[in-house]
Amino acid sequence: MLAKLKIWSSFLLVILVANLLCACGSPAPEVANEGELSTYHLEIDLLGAKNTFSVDSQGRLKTSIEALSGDGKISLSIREGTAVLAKSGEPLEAIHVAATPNPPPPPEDAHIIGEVYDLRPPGANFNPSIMLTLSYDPEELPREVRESDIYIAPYDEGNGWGTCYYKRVDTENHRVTTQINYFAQFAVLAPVSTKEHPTSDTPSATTDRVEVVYFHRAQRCAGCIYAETGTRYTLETYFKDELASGKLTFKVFNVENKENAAMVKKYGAFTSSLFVNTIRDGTDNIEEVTDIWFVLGNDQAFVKVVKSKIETSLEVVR
Amino acid sequence: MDLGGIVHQLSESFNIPVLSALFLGLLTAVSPCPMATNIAAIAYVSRRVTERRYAVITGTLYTLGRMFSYSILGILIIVAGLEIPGVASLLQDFGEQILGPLLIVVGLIMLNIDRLSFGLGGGKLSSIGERVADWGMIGGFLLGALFALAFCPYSAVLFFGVLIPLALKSTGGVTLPAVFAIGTGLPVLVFGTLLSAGVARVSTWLNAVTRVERVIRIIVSIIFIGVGIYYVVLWIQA
Repeated sequence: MLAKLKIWSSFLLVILVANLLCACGSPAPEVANEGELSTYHLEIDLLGAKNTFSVDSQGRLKTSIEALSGDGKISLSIREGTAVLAKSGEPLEAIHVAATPNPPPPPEDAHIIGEVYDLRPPGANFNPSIMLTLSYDPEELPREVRESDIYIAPYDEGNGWGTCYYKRVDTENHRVTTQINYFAQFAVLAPVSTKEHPTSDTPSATTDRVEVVYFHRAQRCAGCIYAETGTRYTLETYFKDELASGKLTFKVFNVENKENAAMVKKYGAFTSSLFVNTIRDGTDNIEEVTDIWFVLGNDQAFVKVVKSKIETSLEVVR
Repeated sequence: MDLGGIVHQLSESFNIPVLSALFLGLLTAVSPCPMATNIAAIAYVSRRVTERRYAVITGTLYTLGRMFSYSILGILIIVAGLEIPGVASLLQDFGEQILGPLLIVVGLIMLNIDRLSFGLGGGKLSSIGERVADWGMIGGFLLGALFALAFCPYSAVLFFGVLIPLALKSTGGVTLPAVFAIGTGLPVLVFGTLLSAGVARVSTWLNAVTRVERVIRIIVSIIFIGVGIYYVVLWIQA
């Protein structure tokens, strides 16, 4: 849907929109020796469905990939130009995805829904991030869990369960999508909801932290999508530790969705907008970041605006 | 330096709200979604090539129409204390849902004027058609007033999220929406006038002013319908 939207807008306004679209958060890696762009191959094996794609000597994909497993349960979406590298930094030659026979125990606060998938080889990484979509069976969800609350989380032996900072639940087709930039085991999780419903009365709410919130309407312009992607890129690139520790959170809401009414009212949002809420001693201090709208399409300036704003806020809660 | 950078610089280094408002308007005018309406407006403004002053006057009236709408909005919010989220959501819905069909209808009416007056001759329909054709300059004002109210996410951010807060804290802020309107209307005035003058010159050379005018009316209608379809598609896809 969004893709079509993009195509339409670029159809009418080629120059302007192209400028916005091609700048998707991450600066493109430099092209090294034009001369030695020999072709390598990347084989993707998704639960037995095998396909081969061409990559250049830097591991960058020559085409966009939408790989889907035979049973439709798992899909990977990788954009053209994405660098797909092994742990060694060499172009990756094969991706192998299978359901793991010995799934790890679920984290304390969640149930595992369906299979746990092992994405191999470990250490493989992607720049920019790729989209991972997992299907789930709504029948498997515990009764008290809302479909929109489920999410995908990574697991590895050393670190246990982690967090993905992006998710989209398609409740119609029962699919969850997240962005990943490295391989591990991944599964759909449903929160154990005994105590909390609104997110605000989790224990971490009492500690000082920074909450970054991005709002958008159902109809999204290229610039609005750019703003969200750029913000996410900035957070995941420069504030990884803060995100992991919960000092910093990032959430995205559709202002037109009734489920989000409380959030929308709290922030006074009505259109695409980015807010930084510095929560200190349980008191909100909400500021809107409007400067981002002047730097759309300018990756460096965009990252700078978001980064400096968040750094200032983090100073306060440190 | 790009326009966004200039606006940013202005708001960072100088404190001249009027200038910021003007550039914010320009930035709005050239962003994709409002630009679609502006393309329709340019086509409308430049369509009558026989009258030299038509484009200038219609373009000015178009800008005045935008000033009218933005000022009323500004007064309602700044003076009367209207809540921004409510009105902003309403106007974005308007922009998404009503504008497209409306443009298509206007385009179809304009297409039919030719058919009716040349095909049927007299009769009620053709007189309606002629009246619509005579909208001319008033049409420019109405178009400006209407297009100003059709907000897209980006223009909503710039107007409600940047301009209005600026107006609220500046002395005489009530005038800023009008200045913003000049910024949004300026490209239409300038390009409409240039286009009209260019077409007039070419058609005089070709000695085919009336024929050119008829062709232009059809082109303008098609642009209206095209822009209308663009809005409808955006709305349906969401």
